[in-house]
Amino acid sequence: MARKSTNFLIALRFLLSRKRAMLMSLAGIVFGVTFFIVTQAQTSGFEQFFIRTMLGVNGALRVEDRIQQTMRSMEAERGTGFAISMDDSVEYIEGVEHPDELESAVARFREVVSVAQVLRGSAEIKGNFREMFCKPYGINLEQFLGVSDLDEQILYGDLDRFRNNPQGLLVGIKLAQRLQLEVGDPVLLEAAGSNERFRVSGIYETGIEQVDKERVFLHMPAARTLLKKPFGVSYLQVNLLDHERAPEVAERIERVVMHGSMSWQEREKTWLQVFRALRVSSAITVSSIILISGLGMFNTLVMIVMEKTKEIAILRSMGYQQRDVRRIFLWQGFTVLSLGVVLGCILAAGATYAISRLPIRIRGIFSTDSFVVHWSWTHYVAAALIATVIVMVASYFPARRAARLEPGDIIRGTSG
Amino acid sequence: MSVGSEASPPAGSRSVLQGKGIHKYLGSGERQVHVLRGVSLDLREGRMVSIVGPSGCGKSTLLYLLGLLDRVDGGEIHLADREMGAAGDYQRTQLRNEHIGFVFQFHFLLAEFTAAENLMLPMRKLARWGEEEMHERAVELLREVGLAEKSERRANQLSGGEQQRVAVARALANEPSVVFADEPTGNLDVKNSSMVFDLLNRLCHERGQAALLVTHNQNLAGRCDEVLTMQDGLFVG
Repeated sequence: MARKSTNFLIALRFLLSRKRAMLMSLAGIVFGVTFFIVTQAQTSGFEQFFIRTMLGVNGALRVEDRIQQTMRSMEAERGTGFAISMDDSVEYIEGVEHPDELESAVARFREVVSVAQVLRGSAEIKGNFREMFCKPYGINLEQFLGVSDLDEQILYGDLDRFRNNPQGLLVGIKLAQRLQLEVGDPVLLEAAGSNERFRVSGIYETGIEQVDKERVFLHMPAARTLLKKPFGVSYLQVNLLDHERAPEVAERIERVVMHGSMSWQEREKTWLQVFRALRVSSAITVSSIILISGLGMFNTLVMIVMEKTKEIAILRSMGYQQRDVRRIFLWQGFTVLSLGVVLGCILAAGATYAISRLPIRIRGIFSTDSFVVHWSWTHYVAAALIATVIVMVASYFPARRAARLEPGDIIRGTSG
Repeated sequence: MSVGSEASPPAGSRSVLQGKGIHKYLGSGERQVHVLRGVSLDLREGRMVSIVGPSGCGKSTLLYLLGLLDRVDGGEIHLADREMGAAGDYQRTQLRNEHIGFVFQFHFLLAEFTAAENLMLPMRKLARWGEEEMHERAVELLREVGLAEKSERRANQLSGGEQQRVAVARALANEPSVVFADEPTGNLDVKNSSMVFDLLNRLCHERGQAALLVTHNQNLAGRCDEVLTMQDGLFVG
C-alpha cells in the first residue's frame, strides 16, 4: 500500500513540475474524448432515429411473396426411365394468397409481437381540382397500429375519425400539401378502371418523403373494392420483441411458412451502411486528436525522463526498484489520462445536451426539428478505451526507458 | 591499515561489508581499462574509512561496486551474510534500501519535496514505519543535522550546505549498516565541508554504522579511523 501511494506521490510531484506541457496533453485528451463522444452521439443519434422512424412506418419485417420451389429432372440414361431430380431455383408468386392462415402461422413465432395484413396498390387521387399519383394501403387499423407508429404520426385530424368512417382516408403531409387537402375534404381515388369517393380523416407525417408524398391509408374492405382484389393481401407487416433479431427471425419464418421474408436490416441496407460509414469515419477522424495528444504525452514524459535522470538515479540508489520507476512514469500517464477521460466525459455530456437543443430542420429520411443525439454509455466506454490505449502506450516507452537507467552510470556522470 | 591490494581489518568490531579480490574493467576493446586489480576491503561497524588517491585511480568505482550500484567483473562482495557480486538487480536494490546509505558530491535531493519528505522517501520504500512515525523520524534526523526548523521547506529553498546536511540525514534514514560517501564535501566551502564531515563522522560513530568516504581532501581523510590510499586500482602502503 505504502509503496503504491509513494510511487503515485512521486509521479504527481514530477507531473506538477511540468504543468504547462501536462496541461497541453490533458487538454488534448479532454477535447479528443469530448469530440469522440459528441460525434458518436450525433451520428448514432441520427442512425437510431432513422431506424425508429423506419420501424414505425414499415415494421421490423415483412412477409410477402410465396416461394415456389421448381424442380428439374434429368434423365440418367436414355431409355432407362431413371432420372435425377434436383433443385433448380425458387420462384416467387406475388403476394399472400391466404393471409389469415399465414398470419396465424407467423403469429405463433415466439419473437413476434403483432402482425398486420396490408394490401397495396396504385391509384390516381383527385382533390381540389388536382390529380396526383398515390399508393393506397389497405389496412385493418387496430392491427396496423400494433406494427407501426401511425397513431404518433398523425398531424391533423385523428384516428377516431378514420376508425368511424369506412370511407375515411389518411393522407401523407406532402401529398396533402400538393393537393391542398385538409381534414374533412372529399377526394376521389381512381384505380383499376373504377372510382371511389373518400373523405380525409387525418394527415400524417412520417418524415420519410417517399412515404409522405405517395402513401394513403384506407380501410381494408374499401381498398379491396377500389383495387378489385377481393382475396389475398400484398404482405404481412410484423413487429418483433427485439428488432435487432429480425434477420434471424426472418430466415426462420421464410423457411417455415415458405414466403419471402425480409428484415428491416436487409430492406434498409444502403442507409444503414451510410450511417455506419459516417460513424466509423468520424470515430477515426476524432481519434486522431487523441492520438496527437498521446504523442504530446509521449514527448512530455520523455522530457521528464531526461530532466529527472538524477532523481531517478537517486531513487534507485535508495532502493526503488526498476518496476517502481516504471510505475512512477505510468502513474503520470494514468493520472493525466484519468483526468482527461473524466473531464472529457463531463464536457461531452454537456456538449451533447447542448447540441440536442440546436434547431435543425430535416425531412427526407426522417422528420426532426432539432439535432438528434443518442445517449449511450458505449460511446463513453469506447472513448475511454481509445484514450487509455493511446496514452498508456505513449507512457509505456518513456517509463521503460526510465526504469532501465543505470543509477551508477548517472551518478558517476554527474560527479566531478 | 592497508597493505598492497588488501586493507586488513582492525580487530574488535563486527564486519559489515567485505569486498574480496574485486576486479573491474571500464570501456571495451582496445580502450578497455583495468580499473580495479583485485582489491579487498573490510568495513566494520562504527568505523569510518577513507580512500584517497589521484583522480582515475578507481576509488569512486570501488565505492559504487561496494554500494551495489555497479557490477564487479571479478571478486566477491559480502553484505548481510550474502554474496552480492552476482546478485540480480532486484536483490541488490532491496539490499541498498535496507543496508546502504549514500551521500554524493551533489545532494540529489528531489526539488519537488520538502526536506522531511526527502528523508521519508527511503523510509516509504522500506515500509517499516507508519506515516506519522516516518515523519517523526525524519524531523528527528533533521534535528540531528541542525535543520529541524526547516523540515517543511522545499529542497530548493535550502542553501548548499543545508542541502548536503539533508542528504546526510537521508543516507541514515533507514538505519543502514554502511554509509558510502563519494566526495560529500566536494561541492562545499571549507566551513560547510567541515560541518558535513563532522556530522557524518559523529552520526556513524554514535549509531555504530560503518562508513566509507572517498575524498581528495587529505585533511578530512586524516580525521577518519582509517585511511586507505589507492593508486592504479590497488591499495598502496
